[in-house]
Parts: sequence; C-alpha cells; structure tokens
Amino acid sequence: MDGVIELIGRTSQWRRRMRRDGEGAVIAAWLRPAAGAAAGVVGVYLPEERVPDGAALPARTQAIIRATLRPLHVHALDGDHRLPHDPDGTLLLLEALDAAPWDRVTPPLPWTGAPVALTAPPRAVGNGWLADLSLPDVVGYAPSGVPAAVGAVLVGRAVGGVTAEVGGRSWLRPLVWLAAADAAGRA
Amino acid sequence: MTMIDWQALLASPPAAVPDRATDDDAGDAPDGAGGGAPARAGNGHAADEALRMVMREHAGGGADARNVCILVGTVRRERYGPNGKARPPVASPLGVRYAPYRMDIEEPGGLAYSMPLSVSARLMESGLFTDGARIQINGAVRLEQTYDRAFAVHPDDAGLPTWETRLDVLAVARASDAVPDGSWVKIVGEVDGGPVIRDETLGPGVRRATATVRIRCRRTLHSIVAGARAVHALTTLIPADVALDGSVEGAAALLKHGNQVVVEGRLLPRVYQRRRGDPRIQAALAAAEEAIRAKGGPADEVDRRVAAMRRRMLTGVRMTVDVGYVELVKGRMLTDEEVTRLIATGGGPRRTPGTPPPPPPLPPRAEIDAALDAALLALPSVPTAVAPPNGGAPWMG
Repeated sequence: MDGVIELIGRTSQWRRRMRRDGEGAVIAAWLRPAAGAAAGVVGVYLPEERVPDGAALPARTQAIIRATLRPLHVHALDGDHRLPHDPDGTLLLLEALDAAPWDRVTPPLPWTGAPVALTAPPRAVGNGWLADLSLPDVVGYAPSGVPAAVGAVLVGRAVGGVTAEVGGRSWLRPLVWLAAADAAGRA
Repeated sequence: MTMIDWQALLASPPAAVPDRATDDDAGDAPDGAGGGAPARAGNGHAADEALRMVMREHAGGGADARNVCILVGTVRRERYGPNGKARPPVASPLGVRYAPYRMDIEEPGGLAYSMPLSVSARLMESGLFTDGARIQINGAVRLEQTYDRAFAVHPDDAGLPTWETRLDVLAVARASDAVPDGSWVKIVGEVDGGPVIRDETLGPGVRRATATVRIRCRRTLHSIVAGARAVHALTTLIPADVALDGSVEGAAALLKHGNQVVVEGRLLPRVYQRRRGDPRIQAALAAAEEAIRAKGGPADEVDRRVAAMRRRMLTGVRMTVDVGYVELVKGRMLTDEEVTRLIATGGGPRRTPGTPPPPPPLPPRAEIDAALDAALLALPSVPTAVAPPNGGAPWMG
C-alpha cells in the first residue's frame, strides 16, 4: 500500500458515512477517473476530523486527488454502490490525502503500484482473469495473460471498480488491475 | 400607537421541575415579588381581565384577538458558576441583545415547569425583570424554525434544525397576587393538515388517545403610519394537543383539515425523544462523548457523564397548546365513527406515520456476478499502466 496515487476525475457529492470497522465517520465520494492509474468507479474517503468543512471539497466537478490504497468498509447510503455479499455496506478503496479542483494542466504522476497476493484460484473473464486478493473484498483483474497461481505476489498497477444495476440496486466490484506481465509471474 | 417590538422565546424547558435550592438562590427578590401564597381564585376572570388589558392597550395597533397568549409566572435570571454570576446577554443575528432568564410557572393544579425566556434589552428597560418578580406577559405564540447549537459538530455548523414555539410579547406587567401562575391561549384559525394521533400513558395499562394538530392563524398588521393603506398578512402555525377521551367537547372539530375553529387552552411542555438514528444527532453525540472522554477522569465518572449527556441531548421539550375548549366556526365536525377510525389508523392521510415500503428482494448472487463481469468487459478503457501504449497522451487512462 505504499505510494501515492494521483487521479483526475469527476467526483460525486461528498457525504458522511459511518465506518463499519469501528466508531467514527468519514467523508466520502465516488470518483470516475479520467486520468491516472484507475478506471471505472472508485470510492474515495477522508477521515472526518481532517475535513471539518466537507463543503470545501470539490464536488460534482473535475478534481485531482492524491490518495493511498487503503480499503475501508462503510455503511452504504441511498445511492451508493453496494457489495454483492454485503448489501448494507460498501467499500471505499482510497484514502485521500488531499482533493482539489483540477486546473486542467497538471497531469497525474505515475503510480509505483502496490504488491498484492492471490488468495483464490483465478477464473477466466473474457481474455483475462479475476482472482480474490489479500485485500479483503477487492478483486484482482488482469485483462490478458496467463493466470497466476494461488499465493503468487503480484503488483497492482491501477485501481478502480465496475458497477452493475441488478434488482433496483447498484452493485460494486472493487478492482486492482494487474498487468499482463505480472500475471505471467514476472512481477 | 403600539409597536410589536418585543420578543420572548419559549424554548425547550427542562422536563423536571426546578429545584427549590435554585429558586432560593434568587433570594434578592424585590418586595412583593412572588412572596407568600396569595389567594388564587377566579382563573377565568383573571384571563378575561388580562385579555381586556391586551385589547385595550393594543386597540388599533395592529394586534387582534386571533392569537392571544397570557403567561403568568416568576422570572429569575439564568446564573452559572459557583458564585452564581448572571449569564451575559447574547446578541441575535438581527443585532438585538437578549438576556437569558427563566420563567417558573407553578399552576394551581400542580403542574410546574420552568422555561427559558430570552428578554430583549428594550424589554429589560421596563424594570419588571428582576429576580423573583411575578410578571404577566401578554402576546402571541407561533412556531419558528431555529437551530439547536448543542448539536453543532464544528464551528461553522449551525446545529440541528428544529421548530420551537415562540412568544411575541406585546405587553408585560407586574402580576397581581390574585392571579395564579399559568397560561391562557386563545387562537382563532384554521386546522392545517391532518392530526397525528398518539397514545398518552396515564398509568399502568391505561392510555388515552391524544391528537396533535396545527392551527394556522392569519392576522393582519397595519402600517406604523396612520392612514397608510398597506396591510401585511402575518400567518403563523401553532401546535396544539387535544385529548380524544371526550373531556374536551368538540375536539372532533380539530381533526379535519380546513375547519375554522376557535381554540382556548394553556401552554404545556411536551417531552419527546429525538430520533437517535438521525446521522446529525449521531455525529453530535459522538462529538460530545469525545469531548467528555478527552477531559479524562475516573472511568466510572466519565461513563456517568457520557450517559447523562446522551439522555440530555436525546430528550427534547416543545411547548404546545393544551386545548381545553373548541368552537367550530366553519367546516364539519367528524362523526364518532370517523374519530374512532382515525384513532385506529393513527392519524390523517397527510401526516400518517406510515411504514416504509419493504426493500426489494436481493437478486441471486450469480446474477449480480454475471452483470459485473459484463460491466468489466464493457469498460471503455483500461488504465495506461496495464494496457500497452497506444500513442495517446502518456497520462490519459
């Protein structure tokens, strides 16, 4: 979980959500990255004590966010994407260090990546494969390449998530993208 | 000409009766202020007298008899600290300074309560607001939205939005010893919305249905300049509780939206529990608990202070009009069958508590996984770090 990810994308409204792993709350938003090491939809949060005035965060606009990969389970609110095995909760992947309106000039810095271990046998999806990771409730996805073995330590190159509407609710699959080279065991 | 420029606030009196030790603290009361136990009889007569006084003093001054409240009790300045220093006045957003007072009301029937009273500097000049003085306030009641600062979680937070019953003061006078403590309210207006019916517990296993309604009162204010043609409408809402056990004749007239009624009653504090599931309340409780724990101390003492804080913050008190007389001016009174049905259903159609619709059943997990797989394959782009370079901007995902 080392390294700072810089993402540029459109944020949703920042709202307060209660943590599931203990007391306290975070201020969180959904980010649709347009640039940086991410794709799809990703939940971003800040500890409440760091943002006494949540209204100052860039909401419903293009923002540049510096964050670290630190998944956090929170209670879902209406309009949130939910986890299939936990319909009352959701997972926010990134803890933001700061969030600011994007000046349309600054490009995001590349991400060094994060080591992750496969904890379940991969299964094929399209030309790639999916596997559970050492990060709870986060799925590793390699868009191509040979599936790695259980226990292999790979490098996550990007983060994100996909959502799907089923049964009147939006479901979330948080993802860490694994490069094809990593999947072949050359991480 | 009389101007309505004084305002007193009736807000969230404590549920408990004030203790005598606190009252004794105001022992420097002036002569005749609340002393002794005067013969207190003829409540109705006193109210009539007071009403006549209001009407006499405000004839042609913009007030009318559609919303009248008379309040008699003993005032004392709010104090704090071991030396009993008077709390300093606070300025309103409109620039008026208010001094915090309490008004202790001990009705002849045994009901006793204490309510905060914000007294403007102008009203203070009357010289009537001295510790222990028994005074009579005449004015009009209304609901006003405000913010409870106790629930503010950071300096810019206004607090929890809440509705409070306010008293616009028209006149203040020293109360005669012949007038007992208490209040009298008369409202001429229209029933606004359907009632909320709740069961009031009178004793073990004994309950009484009580309806809470809102009465919309529309008054007109004339210009301060004699001969001016401008007339301003002043519409206020007043909450009222009426017992549905037959003790108030004509109570059914208050249960139908749009009925025009004349209501008489008294001010009464109603204790209620705030919704602890409200995220704002949860946040305020968490912040208050954190502040208490940060001060430290013995664990038992800290836990006791936290529990007391939670009880205090979760209990609210709102002043309401306890209806004792209803007269139907225009409209239709509900029949006994309709009242019975209303009690059974818990209220009218506009304000029925209702149960939220059940959440839709969860779809099969396999169906969700299949949809997520399809969404993954349909992603328009993959991050640069994963996909091979395609000649685009090096940092575009």
